[in-house]
Amino acid sequence: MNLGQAIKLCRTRRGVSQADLARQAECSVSYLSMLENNKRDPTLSTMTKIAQALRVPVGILFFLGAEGGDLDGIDKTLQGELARTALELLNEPASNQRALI
Amino acid sequence: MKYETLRNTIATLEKLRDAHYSQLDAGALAELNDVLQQLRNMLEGSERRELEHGELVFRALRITDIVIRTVSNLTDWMK
Repeated sequence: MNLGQAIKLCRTRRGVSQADLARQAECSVSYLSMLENNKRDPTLSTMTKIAQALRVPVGILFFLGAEGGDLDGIDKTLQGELARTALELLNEPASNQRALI
Repeated sequence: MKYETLRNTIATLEKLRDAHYSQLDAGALAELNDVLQQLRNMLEGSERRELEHGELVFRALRITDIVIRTVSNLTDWMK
């Protein structure tokens, strides 16, 4: 899993700065930076807060962090198409609904 | 929503449904079909309300999350 890349991808697609995301996810900018650079492993609680701040379901955040053979049960080609679609949707204006686990 | 995004989203969600419909419970399948129908309505221009647009994008992401978690081992990675 490359969760750091997934966080950074979603954050940039949403047009949110590290400072704004850190504030909304109730963590420090330096910690968020370490997460994005895979220098720390986030807890599920932290990932959930980040997902809520970015208005993306937390599972999508994990899905976008999946690498090579991480996921079983879903065709690799479909997996790639779903990831591209999710990223395209993240470029769209977010609703006011909060993401849920 | 951009036309290409809308078209790609519909095509991808249809592929996801067709590949895994037998693994989904009735609630998830109904939500997936409803999201698909609303996206098609938007593509045909019959759904233009901006407030509902944002909500529909979120619903498309959420049902994608639900289906992926159901059919794959993603949940194991979230522990």
